[in-house]
Amino acid sequence: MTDPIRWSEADNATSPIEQSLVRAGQQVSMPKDERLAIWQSILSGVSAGATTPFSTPNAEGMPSLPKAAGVFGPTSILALQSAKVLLILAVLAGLGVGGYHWLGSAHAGRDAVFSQATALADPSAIPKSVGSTQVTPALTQPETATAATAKAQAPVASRASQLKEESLAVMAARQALRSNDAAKALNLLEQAQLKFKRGGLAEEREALTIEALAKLGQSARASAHARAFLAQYPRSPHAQDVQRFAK
Amino acid sequence: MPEKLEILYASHADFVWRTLLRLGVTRHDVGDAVQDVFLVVHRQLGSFEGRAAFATWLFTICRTVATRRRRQYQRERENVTVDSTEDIIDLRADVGREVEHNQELQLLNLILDSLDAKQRNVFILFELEKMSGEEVSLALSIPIGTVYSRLQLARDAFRQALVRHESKERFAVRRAGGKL
Repeated sequence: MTDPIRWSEADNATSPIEQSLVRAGQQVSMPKDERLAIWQSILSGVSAGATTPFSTPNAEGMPSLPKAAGVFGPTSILALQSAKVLLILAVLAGLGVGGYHWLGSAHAGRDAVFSQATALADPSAIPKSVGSTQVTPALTQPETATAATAKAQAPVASRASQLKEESLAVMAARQALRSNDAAKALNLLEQAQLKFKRGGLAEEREALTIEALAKLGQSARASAHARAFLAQYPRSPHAQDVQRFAK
Repeated sequence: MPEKLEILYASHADFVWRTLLRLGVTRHDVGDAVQDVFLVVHRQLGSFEGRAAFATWLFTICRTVATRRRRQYQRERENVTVDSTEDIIDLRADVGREVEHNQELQLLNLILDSLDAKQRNVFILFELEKMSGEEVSLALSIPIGTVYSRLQLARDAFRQALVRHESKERFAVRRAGGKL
């Protein structure tokens, strides 16, 4: 069976307002400062979770979740403590983690790392669950949880800093592209490539590079890059956009 | 592992965040709910078989977490509704087209709220998240034919809700004009 045409793509079968509403819904994304704060909170939970018995499923078959690590729960004392730390981190990070979007792609979160996810399916990559008798107070006692948070924050801060720097570079390049300064964008992207060879935003950088090359009239290079991109990231959320450059 | 989780988070956090909101998690709680989802991901990644797209697996986790949250709301007997998208928009980085976009999102959420939950799930995944019918089928554990039929029902209901809304708007404008 063939899928029906989506409203956002069916110019003749839908009204303008239907299309407009659906497209608006496709473009919703998480506020950048919130994104970083939640990530910090997740890391705290992961750090403490290594000794936390997730293995007791609830009625829905889902594991129990650490609560004290949350920074959004209004009743948690730890939440207040963590929130202060995270607020500072969020400010320091300059909202940089939000730079994962490429030209406002509506589906930036979708399937971008399918291949990585598949690779991650190796059970050995997951910390083994511990028995229920090994319940640690890590997530129930603020002192321990705070220690876990602090432990997690050092490497996180380093990664966040690097990620922030990379995302700023990507954003600067994107801004240059939007301002029709493809040469500047390409220069920024090439510098970023040298600086962040193993950066977390390589996919985004490469997608922008392809567009910059195309805008500069270097269609052959753009095409070569696009083909390589599609080969390397076949399920990338940018694949559809990049496809048009792969001639 | 956190590094790998970080990659997953970077790529899918937006999807999880908006999915939870669309599934009825309040704006106030969505941060905690996103955390819950990714902790489950961290814990259960080994059970992800790779047969479905990662996003479809994520959606099933979102659905469970959202269900738990909604039950919690019911237990607490709080009169909590899905918050206005104003909060979302206020924090959006791109505020250049916020007014129009804000109105569209408010209307979209209003209409989504009016849909039957099963139909809404299909509509969200297919129309808003651009999943294929097969991916929706896997995410919701329903046959592909059911995906299409629910999508059709959701579209019909969406259109009806939109017509009702437009009628109300016209009526309101006429009333306002009459008073003037």
